[in-house]
Amino acid sequence: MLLVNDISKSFGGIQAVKDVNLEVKKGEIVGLIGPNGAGKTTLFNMISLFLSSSKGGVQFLGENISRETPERVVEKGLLRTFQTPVGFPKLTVLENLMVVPKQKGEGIFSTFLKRKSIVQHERENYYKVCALLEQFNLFQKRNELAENLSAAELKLLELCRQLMANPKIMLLDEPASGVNPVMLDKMVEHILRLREEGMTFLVIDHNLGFIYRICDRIYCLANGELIASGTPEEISNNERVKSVYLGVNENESA
Amino acid sequence: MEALVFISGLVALGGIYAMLAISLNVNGGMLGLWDLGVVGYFALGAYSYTLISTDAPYGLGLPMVIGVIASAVITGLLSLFIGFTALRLRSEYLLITTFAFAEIIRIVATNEDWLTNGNVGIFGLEKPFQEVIPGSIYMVFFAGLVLAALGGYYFFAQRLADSPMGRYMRAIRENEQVTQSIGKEIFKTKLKVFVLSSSMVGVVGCFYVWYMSIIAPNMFYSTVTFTVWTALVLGGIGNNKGAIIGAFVLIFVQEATRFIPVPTEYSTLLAGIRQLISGMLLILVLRFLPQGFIAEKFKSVERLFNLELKNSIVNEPDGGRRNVAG
Repeated sequence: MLLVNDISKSFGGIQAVKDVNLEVKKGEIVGLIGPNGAGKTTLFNMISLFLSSSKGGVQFLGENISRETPERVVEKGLLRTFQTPVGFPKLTVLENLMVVPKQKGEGIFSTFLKRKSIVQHERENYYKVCALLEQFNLFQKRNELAENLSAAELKLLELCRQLMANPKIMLLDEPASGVNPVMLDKMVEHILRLREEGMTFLVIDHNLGFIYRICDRIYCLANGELIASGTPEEISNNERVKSVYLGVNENESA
Repeated sequence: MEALVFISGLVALGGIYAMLAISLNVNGGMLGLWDLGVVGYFALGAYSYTLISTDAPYGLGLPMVIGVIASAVITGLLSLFIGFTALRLRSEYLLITTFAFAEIIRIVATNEDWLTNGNVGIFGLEKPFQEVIPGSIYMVFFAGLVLAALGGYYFFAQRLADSPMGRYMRAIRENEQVTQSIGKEIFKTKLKVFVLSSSMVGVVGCFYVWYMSIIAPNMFYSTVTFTVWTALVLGGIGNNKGAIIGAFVLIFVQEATRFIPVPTEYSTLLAGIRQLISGMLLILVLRFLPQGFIAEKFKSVERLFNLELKNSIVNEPDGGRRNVAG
């Protein structure tokens, strides 16, 4: 479904990502781990085309998307979340989601000329949003400003927001950070349920327990290079991964 | 009678600034663009109108209505160009660029004597319905005209704010990156709104020309931009009602200095005090009412579009997804 070929990025003299290859198949949950500064988010930014790659390309659904704009990639069904789930703080929860679908009302002239079809569209949109909020237990908070939500609720809202755009694959950037254990269980439930419904995920996180729980396969990144890949079991027993995470110098441990 | 005419003049000026503040609120308040070019579009609208509707040798002598339309169109076109270059920049960079454009427009107006009669300006410009309304009460009529136009501006801007478009604009203001990540083309939208807002300012330029019955480059110093921004901040950024109230309060307070009884030799000094007063007012408001007189209101979408869930949310068998029976 998603194929990353030999992708590289350097900022000036710093090589942030170097010749990374990875693949995500339909219906999989793939993890991406690595210490701070390993290049995980840079990789995400390149896949979602927020950042152009210095070298290499990305294939999504068999098409090369490296030359597309971020908007077109979203249309094709590739969605990403952000590390800090700020969203739209001064919009209500409802508005945060209702803003997502492309709609007739989003033009200056149509605002005044197509009043009737806008109202109709708002209604359909509203039902869809309410159903989604109910699923994620946020329905009661629908008229709250997003800035008043807790960190975990914001993460859920972010997930909802991306779901509104009908994704085929979701790139989650640290969905578990700042989420308490009870909410984390909920998050795991939601992700697994979405997978049952046919969603594909690529997940970055530092919480290895969380990653091991949900992922089918894991890639480990360090200093911009892929150092290991495999099932959670393989990764958890991999010496290099351990040494990178524990900060042990590779030469010493070898 | 004199008092009535004076108050009408004040109301007209306040109304003109209120229209400017509403126009600025469209891109500065709702879309969050830091636009310091207000006076540029204002001057452009005013000059376009004058040069098209005044008689020769300065203008083409076309009907006023065409002048007003032209002021919107020409300002719109030029702001399209400005926006195309400047809107790729963010916040403070945009601020400097738009500020520079406004200065360029004023300097062109100062130096292109053949077009604008330079620093001397163009005098004795016609006002709408001047032949019909007696001169003694013309200002009262004009104040009414300004208030009517202000009503139109308010209705327009409020409709925009309450629509899905307004929501989309606020989303861009809150977070451009996230707006992009849900597949929106934000540059196009920013450009559209920027052009709209500038055209709105351009049309207000016509009112200012009518109010002053003269046009000269020294009417378009950057202080106008700062006055409009101050009015918007005082009233409450993002709130159209606030924009109106802020503009009227600011203009009234500034003009009130005229009534301070001082010897004539100090009157020029007093003119300087006006800026001081706006500054003080701004500081006080920011200290005690950081969101302005009226903070931005958050209307529930449910109320705006009269939405409600007719039945409770029920489970439906289609793949576990819940749906709402309407």
